[in-house]
Parts: sequence; structure tokens; C-alpha cells
Amino acid sequence: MIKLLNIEWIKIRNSKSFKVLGVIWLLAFIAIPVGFNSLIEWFESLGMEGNDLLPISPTDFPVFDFLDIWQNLAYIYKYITILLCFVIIVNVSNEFNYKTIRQNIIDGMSKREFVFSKFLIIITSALIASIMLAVLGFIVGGVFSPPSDIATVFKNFNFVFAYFLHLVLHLSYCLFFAVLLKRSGILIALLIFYTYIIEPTVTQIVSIPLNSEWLTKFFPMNASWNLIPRPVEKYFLMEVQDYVGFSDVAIALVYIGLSLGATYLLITKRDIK
Amino acid sequence: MTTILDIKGLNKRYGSIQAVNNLNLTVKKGSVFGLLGPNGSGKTTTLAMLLGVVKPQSGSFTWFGEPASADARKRIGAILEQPIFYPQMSAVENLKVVCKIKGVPFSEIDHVLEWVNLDERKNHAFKGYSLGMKQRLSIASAMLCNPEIMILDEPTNGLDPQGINEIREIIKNIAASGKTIILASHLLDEVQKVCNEFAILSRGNLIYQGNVENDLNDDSILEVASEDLEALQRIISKHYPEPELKIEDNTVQFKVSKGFNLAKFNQQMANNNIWLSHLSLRKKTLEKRFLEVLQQND
Repeated sequence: MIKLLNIEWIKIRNSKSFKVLGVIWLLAFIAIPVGFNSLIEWFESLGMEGNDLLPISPTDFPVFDFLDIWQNLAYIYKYITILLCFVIIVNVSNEFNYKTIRQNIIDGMSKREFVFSKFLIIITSALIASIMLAVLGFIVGGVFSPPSDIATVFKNFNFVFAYFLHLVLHLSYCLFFAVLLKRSGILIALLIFYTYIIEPTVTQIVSIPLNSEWLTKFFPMNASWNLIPRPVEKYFLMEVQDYVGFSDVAIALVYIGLSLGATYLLITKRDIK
Repeated sequence: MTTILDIKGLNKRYGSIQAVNNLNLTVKKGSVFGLLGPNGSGKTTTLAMLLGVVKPQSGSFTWFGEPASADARKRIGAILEQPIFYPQMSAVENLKVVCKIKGVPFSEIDHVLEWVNLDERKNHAFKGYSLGMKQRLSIASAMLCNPEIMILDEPTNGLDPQGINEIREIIKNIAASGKTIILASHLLDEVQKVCNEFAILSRGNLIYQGNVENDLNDDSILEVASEDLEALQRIISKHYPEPELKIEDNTVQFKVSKGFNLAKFNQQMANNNIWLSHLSLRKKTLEKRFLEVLQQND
């Protein structure tokens, strides 16, 4: 396993797209809480100038308070997951475009090891991102949250695990489709098109007449998205799901298993040309 | 001699095309084995199956007497079709990946790069290399694990004469070190220069397997000329009634077998007052043999 991670590390540290996307992702990761806080402060300053149209104070939006912070941060970070998706898509489809998967196998890697090494990148990057989320959560929460006891700090910490699962699932989809299509450009376009247009449309069409919102949970992107439900309405006194749903975790795990199984079958059953 | 590779009844079909048809072949340790055949005859498909990237329809093969596995491939140095490396990575970084896969220490890298004369450019990205450098890097990569057998598929494809010569010298050196080599090529004279055994594939069928030395030395062509070709022809038929004589390019040509005494022949002609202006014994080329075999099989 260490050997496979080593191999992938040599490959990825020399990749330009990894460096570029990685830096953008890192900047976005740090900029989001900082930027959000400045935004609230700006609203606040408007309020202090006597502008009654925006009577907002940071206390109205305790987004960085413990208890709320884990879900809020994880929720926002879902929107930059796509950058990590690009990294995986480019990494895996290049193995096919450059035919390097073929040379890896000729040199003595088994097909199973190949799939496993790609899954290891997914796990590793999801792990690093989740640890960063945890660390950043403690820092930002420590700065902005009113003093809280340990129980409150960790109460909704399982959103960090949900974030980890969300990343693993999303990146596993990317692995599967990159192996299936072998084309990064088309796949990135399809991913965006499906995530933002097709699935939302289809779930709307399905859920309204049947009055069966539970069904939408089973759509692949929703399965990943639902792990961290939208917290926004909470601040407008509406009820939201503020916990990690057991069924959501189960569905995500099933989809992760399916993606990996299908990837494995594709690689082992097909000739590698 | 021990058998390194043993193929039994290997088959591969792509749609309606039988790419490899019931192939049986053994390669002994220490031989330099030429796999010949026109483009599309199934050479690369065969090698791809032997190297685990293409699945055979049926049939089996063993490497080193063991069933095929990823671990067996770690003991083989192989390049298929063209040099394949990560384009943005340098030679050294690329070879590090190979080292990790094969379980070879990084210290071997400098050694093989020096050996193929790539040490000066070893830290430059692969994509900037000339074709000749790419080919040399892939040979270096194949040599990395000090393999028991090397598989080279068209290693001189697309190279200029100087590049071809460099690669040929490298292959000869490897062969001289006692390694087993399988060389797939459609360049017959390349195989003739470096191989000692060969097999010919045509449309997926093994149509001939033989030994370069024996097969090509059995019959040679004797080419002679003198001022009066007709007289020469008459005298030759008198002394050597069996072979068929042919007049081509102002010379008389006929087949002679191994051990033919040229001095005696020369004297016979002189005794008959025929003074030769040209006398040369031409070994049959692999090309001729190849074309003959292909014709017989058409």
C-alpha cells in the first residue's frame, strides 16, 4: 500500500494540473471562511451607519459558532469539491491518453493494484481535506464562536465525517467515469452538465407529482450532496436537517461500493489498449 | 536449455478478425528470438497478451515455467509499439515509477541511463526528447530490473539510420550479455542481424519457425560472370547438371548448397578456358526466405 501511494505521489507531484488545481483549491479553502466573515462585517458596518434596510448583525448569523460551524463549513466546501474532481479526472484519463496504464501493467503492476492505487489517492485527498476542515473549524470557531464547552464543540463534528464520505463518493464517481470514457474534457463538461442541470431537473420532475422526495435521495449526485444538508434556512427560522442522516450515509456507502466495483470490472474485463 | 516462455494454443479475436490463431511457441533461455510478420499479422497482439494487457480468448502461456502473473512481469523488461512515459516527467522521475513497480532500488537509474547515453538529459521532461532518445529511454527502462528476458516490439520504428544503428548496437550488447530477447519486427534485415531464431506470423497464424543460421546458410546463390556468358552457362551445366541456371544482370546465377568449393569451381572454369570476371557467393537473405514462406502460405 505504501508502495502504491509512493508511485502515485511520484506521478502526481510532477503533474501541472494537480499543482494548479491544488493551489486554487487551497486558496478557496482558506478564503471561504475569511471572506464570509468579511462579508458579514461589511453588512454590519452598513447597519452601524444607520442603514435600516440592512439591520444585520453577526449575531443574527452565528454561522461560525460551534454546533453550527461544522455543517456550515462542510456545506460551503461541497462547492469546491469539483476542483478535486478535476484533479482525479485529469489524473485517471491521462493514464489512458498517455497509455501509461498499459506500461504500468507491462512493468508488473496488476490491474487490481492499479484500481487500488487510484482509490488510495481518493482516500488520501479526502482525508487531507477533512483534516483541514477539522483544523480550520477549530481555528475559525475558536476565534468567532462564543466560549463553548467540549460537548458543544464536538456535537456536530460528525459533519466532518460526512464531508469525508461526500468527497470519497464524488471522487469515486470521477474515477469510474474517467475509466469508462477516458476523455477528461468531455467528462468535465458532462459532470457539470449532469450535476447542475440534468439531475436537478429530473429530481424536480420526479418528486413533485409523486410527492416522493425520498426518491430523490437515490440520485447519484444527491446521494453525495445530501450527506451535508443545506443549513441556510435555519437562519430564517425554518426547520432544517441539522444532523447526518443514517440513510444518507448508507446510500453513499452503497454508491461508493458500486463505483469502485464497476471501475474494477471495467479495468479487469477490458483490454488495455 | 530451460524454457523461458511456453505458449499453448493462444487465440484472440477482434470482431470478425482472428488476430492470433491457435499459436504455439516456445522460447528457450539465451536465445535471441525474432518474431516476424507483416504489419497486422498479430505480433503486437501476441506480445500484449503475453504482457497481461490484452485478454486471450483461449489458450495459455507460462513465463519461467509459472502461470502468468504480475510478479512474473516484474522479471521481464518490455516495450510495446512505442515508448510510453509520463510526458511532463523527466527520465529519472519516470524511471522511479518503474523502479517502484518492479521493486528495484533507485540507485539503478543512473546506471541504466548512462548505459544508453541519456545521463546528460536525464532531468529534462520526456516530452522534449527526440524519438531516438525516447527509444533509448524505453530500453533503459526495460533494462532497469536486470531482466531475464527482454521483449522489444519494433524498437527501431521511425528512427533515422544513425538512431537505428545505435539501437542495434544496444540490442547486440544485451544479446552478448546472455539475456534472452524477443524482438518483434517487420524489418527482416534487423532480425537477421541480431537474432538466432525466428518465427513468422501471417494473419495470426504461425507459418514458420526456424533457426537463422541453418535456414539461411542451407542454400546460397552463386553469381558468376565472364566475357562470354553463353559459354560460361554451357560449361556450368556440364559440370553441375542439377541446379537451374538463371541469367540476370549479366551474370549466371544458380543455387549451391552448404560446403560448395569455390576454388574448385574456379579451377574447373579456368581449365575450360573461361576466365571469370565476377564470382560471388550470396547468402540467402531472410527477406527471400520470408517472401517464400509467405507465398507458400497464400
